[in-house]
Amino acid sequence: MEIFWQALRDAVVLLARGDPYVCEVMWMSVQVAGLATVLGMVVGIPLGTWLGIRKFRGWGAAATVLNVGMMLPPVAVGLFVFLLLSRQGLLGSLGLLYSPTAMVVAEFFIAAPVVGAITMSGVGSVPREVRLQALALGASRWQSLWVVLREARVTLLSAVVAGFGAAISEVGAVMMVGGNLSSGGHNLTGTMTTAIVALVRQGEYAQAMAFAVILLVIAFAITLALTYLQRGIRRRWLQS
Amino acid sequence: MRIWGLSREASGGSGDRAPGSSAIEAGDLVKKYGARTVVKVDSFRVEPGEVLAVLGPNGAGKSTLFRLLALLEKPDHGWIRYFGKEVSVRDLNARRRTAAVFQRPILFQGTVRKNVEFGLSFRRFARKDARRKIDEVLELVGLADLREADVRTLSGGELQRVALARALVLEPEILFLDEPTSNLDITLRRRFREDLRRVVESLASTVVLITHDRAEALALANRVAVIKEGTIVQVGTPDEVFLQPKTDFVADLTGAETTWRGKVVSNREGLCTIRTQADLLVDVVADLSPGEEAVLSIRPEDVSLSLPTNAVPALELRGTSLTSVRNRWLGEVAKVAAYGALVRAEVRLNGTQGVAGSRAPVRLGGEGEVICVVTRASADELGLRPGLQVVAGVKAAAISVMPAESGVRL
Repeated sequence: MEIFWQALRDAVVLLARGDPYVCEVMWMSVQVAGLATVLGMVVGIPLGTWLGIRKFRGWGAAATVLNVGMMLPPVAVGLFVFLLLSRQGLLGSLGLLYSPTAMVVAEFFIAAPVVGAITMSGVGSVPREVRLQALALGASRWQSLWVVLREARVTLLSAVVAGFGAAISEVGAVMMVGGNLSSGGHNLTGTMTTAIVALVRQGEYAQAMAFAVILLVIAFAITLALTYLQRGIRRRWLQS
Repeated sequence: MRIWGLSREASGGSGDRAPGSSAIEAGDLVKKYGARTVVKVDSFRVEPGEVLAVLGPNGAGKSTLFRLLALLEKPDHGWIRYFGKEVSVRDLNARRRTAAVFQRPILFQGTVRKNVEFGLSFRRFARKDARRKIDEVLELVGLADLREADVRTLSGGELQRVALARALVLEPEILFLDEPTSNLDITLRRRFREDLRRVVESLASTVVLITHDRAEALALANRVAVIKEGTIVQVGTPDEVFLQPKTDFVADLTGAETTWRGKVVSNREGLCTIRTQADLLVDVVADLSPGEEAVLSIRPEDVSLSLPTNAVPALELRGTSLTSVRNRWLGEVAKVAAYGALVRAEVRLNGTQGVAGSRAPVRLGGEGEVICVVTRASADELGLRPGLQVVAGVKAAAISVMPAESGVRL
């Protein structure tokens, strides 16, 4: 047990000092996951909205694909993206493998289905009459969609946060396409999760613990923010 | 649009009317869901400024017809014109000349004010003017105090009022009301209907009212279109449709109940005597306290007709009764209409024209009209015709009674 407390103490010291390596890795993680989430929203929200509103032939298959996407094994995603970007791959000529861009691509495939599937269920649970009522009050097609999304906004927010959570805590895929590289003590493609794996292997428990603490704090902050936002939105509805 | 003395700016395509044209005109309308034809209307017309009720039972295609006419759903076939101009689902400006209140009040998350604001913001209405209009319309529907309330805290009647306000604030040229009161309980329904009538009268726009409730159609409409299995079977004024139904179906649907309002005079072990507004005394089975207000309704099938005779009262004066029917009123047949095996009659009750010798047990005094349905055979044997003096009888137990709570919050 002593080893645990020792690591935790050292971690706190590292964080308090603002250790440059720790900061670089943390910043990289947030950037990559953030960008992947934004791209995931760009694709996932319209897709989820469409599947949430329209029922068409093959809808069941499409919805299943999206839901399976949410459960995608990250290692498999990593493998696909790796093969896509590897020198012999379809996009190999771009030379993106082992770059932050490759990691964004991998995390995008993790985040987008999460955002899409939760959006789909949120939008799908808004009664059909909401859109009809908006149209009956003179909404254009786009305005009526906006009304539906507004009704589902708490779920949409959860979708985005869940997407970010999935992206930032992801290990397998980023490890495979990013490689956790550093050069001359400077981080290149390391994220907090991949760094933990590497550091533990090297016996550097203090730094690993520092990242673990940060990840836990992020998870906690996200949950807190979500709860607060949901409540805040309610309060603002009452006032607006 | 006269209520606020404002111009028609909110309603989109203003002034776009061909002179002399109907507000809504539709032809050859067909809508199918799968193999089932839900609506098949050859010709349909609503004149500017009129209130037209589309009356039909559940599943008759009323709501589908409403969605087609309101440009919310695309017909499989046919055309629709607003004020002489052909319109379609894609025609946003045409849709903005209308507004609709749905059966279930679908409110958007937020306050009452926010909900009423939606239609105006769709039309990019200036916020300052919007505020004033919203206040006015909330005043009109009696929700001024609840302006800032979260809609989730409202009662059913209040929700339906918000839905109404939200449509009215747009000053629509055509207002669609799809079963606006069916979601309300019976006392609220009556009050909401009264308010609706007041609003509709002050509104001067064309109103299409979809309903399965004959009383609602009667109370609000200038014309009634009866719909059956997606087809309009009869159109006319309420009098024409209700009193000269062309088919059994229409007759069944329009067989209006007699409804009276009154005050409880006495209650003897659950047998109440109620004095109606027209001074008629009615025995009913109910547990109400003297002084309480009540609403009575009598199904036409429960009213029996007989000829007044002198023998009966003579016997009854000695304290015996020849009948268990507690309510017997003298009256004169006002209208008779036959359909199928049944005859529908309206009897104008007027006890003061009593027949010689008929006293106490046949209740005297008070007026009113009672609607009854008897078989054709009975009508023939009675010689039923306008002007005939009859005794209309109703068992106390056959009358349904509801307390008319005046303090109900809508």
